[in-house]
Amino acid sequence: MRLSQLIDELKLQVLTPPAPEAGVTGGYASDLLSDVLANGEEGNVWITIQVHRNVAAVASYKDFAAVILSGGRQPQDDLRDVAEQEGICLLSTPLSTYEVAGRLYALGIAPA
Amino acid sequence: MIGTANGFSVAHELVYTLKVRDAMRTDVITVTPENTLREVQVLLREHRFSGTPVLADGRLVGIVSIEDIINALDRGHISQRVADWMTRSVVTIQDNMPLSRAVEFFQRYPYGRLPVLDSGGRLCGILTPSDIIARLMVELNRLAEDAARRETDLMARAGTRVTDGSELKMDFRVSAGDFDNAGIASARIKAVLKERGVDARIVRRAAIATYEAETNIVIHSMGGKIHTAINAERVLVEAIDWGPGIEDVEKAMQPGFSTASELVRAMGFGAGMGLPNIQKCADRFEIHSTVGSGTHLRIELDLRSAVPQGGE
Ligand SMILES: Nc1ncnc2c1ncn2[C@@H]1O[C@H](COP(=O)(O)OP(=O)(O)OP(=O)(O)O)[C@@H](O)[C@H]1O
Ligand SMILES: [Mg+2]
Repeated sequence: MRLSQLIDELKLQVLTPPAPEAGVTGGYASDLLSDVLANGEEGNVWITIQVHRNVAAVASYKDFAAVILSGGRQPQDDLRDVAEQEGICLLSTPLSTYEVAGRLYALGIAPA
Repeated sequence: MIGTANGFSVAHELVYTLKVRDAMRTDVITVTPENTLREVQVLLREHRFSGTPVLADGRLVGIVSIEDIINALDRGHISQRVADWMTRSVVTIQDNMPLSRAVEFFQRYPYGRLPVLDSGGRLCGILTPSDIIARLMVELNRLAEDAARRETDLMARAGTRVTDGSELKMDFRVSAGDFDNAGIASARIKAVLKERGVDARIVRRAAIATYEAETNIVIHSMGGKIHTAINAERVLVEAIDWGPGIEDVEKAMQPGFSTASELVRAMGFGAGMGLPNIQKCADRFEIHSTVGSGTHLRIELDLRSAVPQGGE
């Protein structure tokens, strides 16, 4: 699925824009950075409630399609700045991590 | 106090190179012999000074201290003239003397302030022990910043250093507790490898291993450095810190083992997966740790292993 399509379906708030043709290969939900580094896959969307700048580092090293900040969380200023610089798509939603994951599954986005 | 601090040689050297005029305050409040002690009392209270010089026709003729005021209150002569009660034999110091002289003075005499005279014998400032300390702190800070800048410059230069055999070496300092800069080394390594056209999966593994090593230095150590060397065959990352070291390395290597604090866990660190991640990402991995002196990780990844590079 296209990332842009997913953003529309879930009505996600776009904090930093997605790459134009980005696709989504699956998802990973965790707030533990090392866990995400170990188990996330390239092209995944990562759902988390962490909002500090290390989120951008993790997303960049894993080549994620996007990061979804769940539970209505907003990024700390420097996270937004770094995401912008690094071209990382940062999204936000009032939905909980559980709900976001459920909606992704319903859209047919399952782990690769 | 400052002069006798054995071993604190930088501050010691500073008190010899700095002059009295470098540390003195020039916003001196003075009184005349005609003022009353009551007026001086008000002045000292207002400015929170513990004493003030007495000037007559621009010349220093005495000093009134808070003790003089207390005595005056005690003995009932607070409304009398300064001229009758001031201390006349004032010890002064020249503005071009080294600060060490002033330090000696404060060690020898019970006075808390020292009037400073210029070469013409006129009062040009006043010096207290806390002025000296404040000045030393500024100077020590500046020295520390200079040293840090020099080191950064050196490292920046090292970043572009290509040694024989076309090896690129980079060094990064990692400060304890500096979460904002964790990831600088890994980001650089990622950029360099990507630019060289290394397979994306290897780039990812190298970046992740380095990032885990960096965050461990930030979170668990007192500071350290990342040293990297990249050639056509492999990338070598060494993470070296200055303690406290790991007590039981085998235990630390177990997935899920973590001593991270609540605060750090709230940021999403402390899954106890960092070291296992590094091991998984590396083609060769060594960890050496000595309690009291530090931890040394040696991480190596082959750059040609997963997918042969084009042109081979
Ligand atoms: N450089 C180090 N200096 C001192 N202790 C360390 C160092 N690196 C790791 N340790 C110890 O080893 C434990 C495990 O490290 P590891 O990186 O696997 O997990 P973590 O850092 O606690 O959590 P995570 O990496 O998942 O965020 C740490 O909790 C700490 O006790
Ligand atoms: Mg760790």
